[in-house]
Amino acid sequence: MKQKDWTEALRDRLKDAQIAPPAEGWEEPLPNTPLSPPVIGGQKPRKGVHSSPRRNWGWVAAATAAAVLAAIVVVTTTDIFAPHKSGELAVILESQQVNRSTGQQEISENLEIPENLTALARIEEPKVQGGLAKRAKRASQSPVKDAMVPENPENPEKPDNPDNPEIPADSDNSTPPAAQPANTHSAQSTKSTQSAQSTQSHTLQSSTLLADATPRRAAKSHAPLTLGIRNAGANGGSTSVVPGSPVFANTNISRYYSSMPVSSAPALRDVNEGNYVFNHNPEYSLGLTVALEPIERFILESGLVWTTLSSQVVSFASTREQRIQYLGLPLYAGWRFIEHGAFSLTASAGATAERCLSASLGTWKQDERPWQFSVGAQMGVRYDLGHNFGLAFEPGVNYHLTETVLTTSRTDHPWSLSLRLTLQYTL
Amino acid sequence: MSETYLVEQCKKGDNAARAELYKTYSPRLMAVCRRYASGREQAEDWLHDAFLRIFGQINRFRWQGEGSLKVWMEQVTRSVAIDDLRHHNALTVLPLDQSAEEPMDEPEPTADDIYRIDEADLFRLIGELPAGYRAVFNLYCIDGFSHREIARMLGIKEKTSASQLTRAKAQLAKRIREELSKLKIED
Repeated sequence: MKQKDWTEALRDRLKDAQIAPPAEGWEEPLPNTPLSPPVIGGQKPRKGVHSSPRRNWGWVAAATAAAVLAAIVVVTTTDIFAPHKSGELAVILESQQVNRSTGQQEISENLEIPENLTALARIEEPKVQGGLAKRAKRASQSPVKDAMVPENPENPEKPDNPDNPEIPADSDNSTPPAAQPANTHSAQSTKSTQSAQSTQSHTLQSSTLLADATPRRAAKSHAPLTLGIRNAGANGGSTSVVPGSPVFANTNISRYYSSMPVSSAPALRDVNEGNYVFNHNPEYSLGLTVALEPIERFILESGLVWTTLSSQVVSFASTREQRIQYLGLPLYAGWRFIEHGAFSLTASAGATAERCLSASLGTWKQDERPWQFSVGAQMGVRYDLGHNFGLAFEPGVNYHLTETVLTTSRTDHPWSLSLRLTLQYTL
Repeated sequence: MSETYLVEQCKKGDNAARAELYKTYSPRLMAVCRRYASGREQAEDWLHDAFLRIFGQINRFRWQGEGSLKVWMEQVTRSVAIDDLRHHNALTVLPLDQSAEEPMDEPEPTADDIYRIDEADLFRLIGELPAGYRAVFNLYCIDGFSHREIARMLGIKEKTSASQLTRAKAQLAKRIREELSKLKIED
């Protein structure tokens, strides 16, 4: 007969063992209250004991999630935070520049706008023109802000009002290469575009967006997770893509293209072939964070988070990827509730400062504001890997306080959903 | 009172039922706490916390047959102990004298040796183990969990669990030998 192992003997002796509980035993019963824990042995519940409070935190978590969801629904179905009026399009004409100091439009004498650029300006949809007419009116009232808009559409070369030198800081008012002799535009072509006066006014006024710091447009987004505000266009739709006209909401694209001979700018070659649509991909983040737990379950977290914003700039002829990369410094405060084994549920809120590392469209580099700031809240799951390391997956909602110059999912919708995966070290 | 009746009454907040539950199961749960604790004082704290958690979570319990209540309460008690050890990082801290490799050639005691030692002394000897070794030893040898389950519960790797068990058994074997030597001398 095989002799029993000593550990088996130990198990037999200790598994069903009993030890007398504390001498105080059970205190006098409390009134029958289903949710109040009794006082055992004369002791009050110790700090950090997770008895009924744990159940309450579950309800808090559910209520928080419901509140966040309701906020998202309200924001997406109303125009509470709509920064711009409906019906605005961003159509940009090359070779326009604004003199920052005077606010006057300078149109090169050698400006020559070839036919394809004329097509840029052609707007066939009357509904859209309605929206642009409003903009023209507004522009004429503040000519410097819409510095491209002449008072008299018939004489576009008339200087603008220099009295209002307000120029948005982020507009590129340095002389773009477009104004250089290498540009083959000529004044004659400029005049040729003036034949359709309303078109010209629409064209020029739309180019005010070069000076406009907030060229927002509701891009057509296929990203299922990119929720937020959609500006209802004058045509009633949620997209500002208009047949027959290109939609460049990205001033920097135009500036870049204007540095190249028009005929060789690939995007411009595509102009006549259709419209541009920005399809924003979901925003993903990866990060390394350090968490401090000064009080049990209360977490302060910071670290480095790398975020990529990518969008497909689609035309009938080509698709290019716009990619912007940020390195963010988040500062979040949160609560860890509901623990089950190695998993725990956390909720946190805070702010993030992001530094733009790179911005590109296809193979071309682009400029973007160096810093972006946002506030947000997130709720997620943390898996304890051991040795104070944990892996956290936290979907969250963010509100971006600063706008990107380039068109991104954040440009179109200041509210955004993000997916964040971080390796967390708890001190 | 039957288990089902006891549970139903506890769910309603009946303090008499709670008192009966405490009276019936506290000795057993106290033993569970004592196995995982370094001393009686810590075990009493854990027992107190365990019952608070049991009463707080009793609504989640679904009776599944005779003995299911006892099993569930032991699980809750074990969770209280392990959570507290994890929270205080006791599971990852090795005593300074443990930094070197443990001698693994300690002769193991026999089953008869185990029966010669008092139950209270066995609890004491187990309590003298480092917290991490103690937890792994209890989970594997007494409660019957696998290394994979232990790794998940303690937030460590399976290999770590296995090596800690080896070291725990070596240390405990040595302490049992020493205890038996004392008993022989006293005899």
